[in-house]
Amino acid sequence: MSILVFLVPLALLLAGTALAGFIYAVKSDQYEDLDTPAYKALLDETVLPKRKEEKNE
Amino acid sequence: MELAQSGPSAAHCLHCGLAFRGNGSFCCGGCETVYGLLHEKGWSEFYSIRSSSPEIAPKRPVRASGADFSHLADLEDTSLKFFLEGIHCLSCLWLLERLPELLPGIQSAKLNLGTSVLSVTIDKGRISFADVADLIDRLGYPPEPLMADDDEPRKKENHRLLMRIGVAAVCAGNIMLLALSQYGGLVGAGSRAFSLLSFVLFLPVLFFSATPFFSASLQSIRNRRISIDVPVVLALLAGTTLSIINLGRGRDHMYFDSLSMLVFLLLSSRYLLRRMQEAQFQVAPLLSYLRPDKVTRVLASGKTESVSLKAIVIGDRLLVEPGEKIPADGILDTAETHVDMALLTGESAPVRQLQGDLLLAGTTNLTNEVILRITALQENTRLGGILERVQNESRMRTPLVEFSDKAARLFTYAVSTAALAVFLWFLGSNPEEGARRALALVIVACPCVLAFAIPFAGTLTLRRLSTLGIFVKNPAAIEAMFQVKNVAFDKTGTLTEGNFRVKRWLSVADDETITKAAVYSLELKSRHPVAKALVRFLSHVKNPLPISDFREVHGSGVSGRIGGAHYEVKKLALETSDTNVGVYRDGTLLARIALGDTIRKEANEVIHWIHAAGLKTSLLSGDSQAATADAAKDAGIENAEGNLLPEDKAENVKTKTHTLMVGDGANDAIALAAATVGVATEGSMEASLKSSDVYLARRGLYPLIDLFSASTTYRKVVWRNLLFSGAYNIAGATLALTGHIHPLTAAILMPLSSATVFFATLFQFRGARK
Repeated sequence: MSILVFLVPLALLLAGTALAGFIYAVKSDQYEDLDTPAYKALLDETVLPKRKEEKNE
Repeated sequence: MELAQSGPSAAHCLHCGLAFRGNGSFCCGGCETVYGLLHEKGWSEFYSIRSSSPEIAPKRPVRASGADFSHLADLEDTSLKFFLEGIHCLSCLWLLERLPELLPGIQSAKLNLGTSVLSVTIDKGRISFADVADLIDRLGYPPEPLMADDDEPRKKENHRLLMRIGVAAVCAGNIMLLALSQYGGLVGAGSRAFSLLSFVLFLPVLFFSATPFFSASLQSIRNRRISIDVPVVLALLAGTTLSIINLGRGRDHMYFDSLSMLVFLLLSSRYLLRRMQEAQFQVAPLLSYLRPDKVTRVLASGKTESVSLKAIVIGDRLLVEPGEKIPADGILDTAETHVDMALLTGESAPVRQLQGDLLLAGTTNLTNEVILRITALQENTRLGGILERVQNESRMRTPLVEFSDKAARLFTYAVSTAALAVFLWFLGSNPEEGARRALALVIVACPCVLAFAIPFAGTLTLRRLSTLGIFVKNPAAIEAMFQVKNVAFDKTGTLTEGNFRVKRWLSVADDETITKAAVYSLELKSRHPVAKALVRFLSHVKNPLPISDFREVHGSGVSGRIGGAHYEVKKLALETSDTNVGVYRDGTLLARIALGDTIRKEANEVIHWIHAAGLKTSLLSGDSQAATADAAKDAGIENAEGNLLPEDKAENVKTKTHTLMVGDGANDAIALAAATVGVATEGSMEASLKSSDVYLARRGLYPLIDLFSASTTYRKVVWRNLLFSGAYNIAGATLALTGHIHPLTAAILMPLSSATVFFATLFQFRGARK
């Protein structure tokens, strides 16, 4: 039974991590458009030089 | 689709894949441009992606609309949303998200395939939105800038709801884990610790996740109405109090697991519902049809400049040319003009306005170039008010919704009373048992099905119809369709193509060339289908003669002075199947012209379908009885009534009971308004919004079949939902009262029943789409 002292906080920690991840996903608008990403996965990523410019900004 | 004629000489366009007649590899210049553009960038991958997308079937040649977007140049914002026409597949997404690479200066382009909205962010220093719009247009997607951006509050609320769900999920999951070991037989200090821990985990659920239920209940109590949130709050409060009392007395009968699960599942099903409803109300693109985005401002110096309507403030002076729509409410500052007020009044005859009169946004300036002093803008205009009403109406309570709402309220009272009764019943003997039964009852009894399922079915129906090019003003119209027994059609433009052709030209007097030139010049000024046909027929004339005293009389003809003589072209009431027009000079008949119109090719099939559905049909027309009877016979319509004025049509519609009238939104406005259900066909959306319930944006008569099928499906779904909900609630309540359901089971069953109804409804509409 004493294992619970370790397991219960662990479960809470895991849940907390999941919640943090979820909140991050919500805040970064990942739930705004649920249709398009499904299609995007089908497209091969072509590496194009212009993408770098975006990252620099 | 009409364009896709594949004959023996047909070739397929290299870009859009459309079959076309003629030489070369492309169906149009637009396709050639895009093809060139893609190859220049080395992006021919577009074509291989496209051929692997099974859903794409190009329906029209890619062609730039050629619209002028220069008014977008002076927007202050760095991001703008466009509604794009013709988004249908993966390759559209692929292409549009590469805009930043096509035009340096575009920082990001994000396309939402579900709503066809493209969000673009640009670097103001380098390019303007005018360039962006031009580019998108050249790619073959006519862009519609979406000006009003009130997306932010909606997004925030969405985020808050999601966070509430997230917190509830995490807490409920853990509480369940703890409760499980207690159900499994954990006792003593461990059980006590678990009880305390579940209490701590329950706090965020109660004070964060469940707040919408509290605020909604509070509001409903303030309005002296009981809402379906009240039992949820009741369950929460009672359950929490009971659990805390038990906790204080050192007993481990906790209801935190049931309650947190209830909150989580309820929030989730509401989120689902919300998403569905949001997808429906994509009215923005419809609104931008109704007034121009681009206006001409008159500066103090007398110069004019072209600006976006967004840049206009009250007191500005705007120039509006004849034929243009009036962009905002304003006082007429020039002598006089005639205005088409059909949009606001349903009256299509021009109204004369003098200096100092108020001209209203959305109406059309007809005769003179005018200057307006703006008094109200956007949503403060009369038009804005109407649109707001229309939008509100589309969420309006229908009789069925009203009924289910009332049922849900009664039900809520009954459940609360029953719960109280069972609690009091057991108070003396076994308060613990009484509390548990009462709680289970409050949780399991779910008026949600009653309260949500019907509006949800209405929403889905409307959404499905809008994807089919059918815009329904409010769900009540769908319910009104249940009663329809007669279908009345307008003839010209509704049952027929509306494309007149000149069949015979019979000159009575000898100077045919002059007559033709005069007719051409007069008809050039009119927009009536007959006038257009005459202009087309006489297009070889080319040089119109100068006209003075031009007049157009609605439903009759045109007249004017040419070279000293008074010419008149007007409708003749002859008993033939054609439309006859006579040309007069100073009262002498010069020529007689017969024009014909063709019946839509699908008319027979659609009428047959309507008859098979057990409905009666009739044809109402302003043309001669003979012409109307002929057309009715061709289309298979039972009754034909000719020589009807618009008022007569309305009278006719009223005398038959439960009539669905299909007609032209402008000319038949009165009849459409008088009908049980008014269905306006393409070409006059503005007036239609006012007078009818349904607007067909898709050409032809097939949408009628879709409309009837949708209403049948709706009825079926609603009754099934009601039956299911009734059965579930009676069974659930009985089991809870007799103590056969634990509150936890109830907490899972209840949202499950809602979900069942939602998905059953959803699948019904998914299935019907094919």
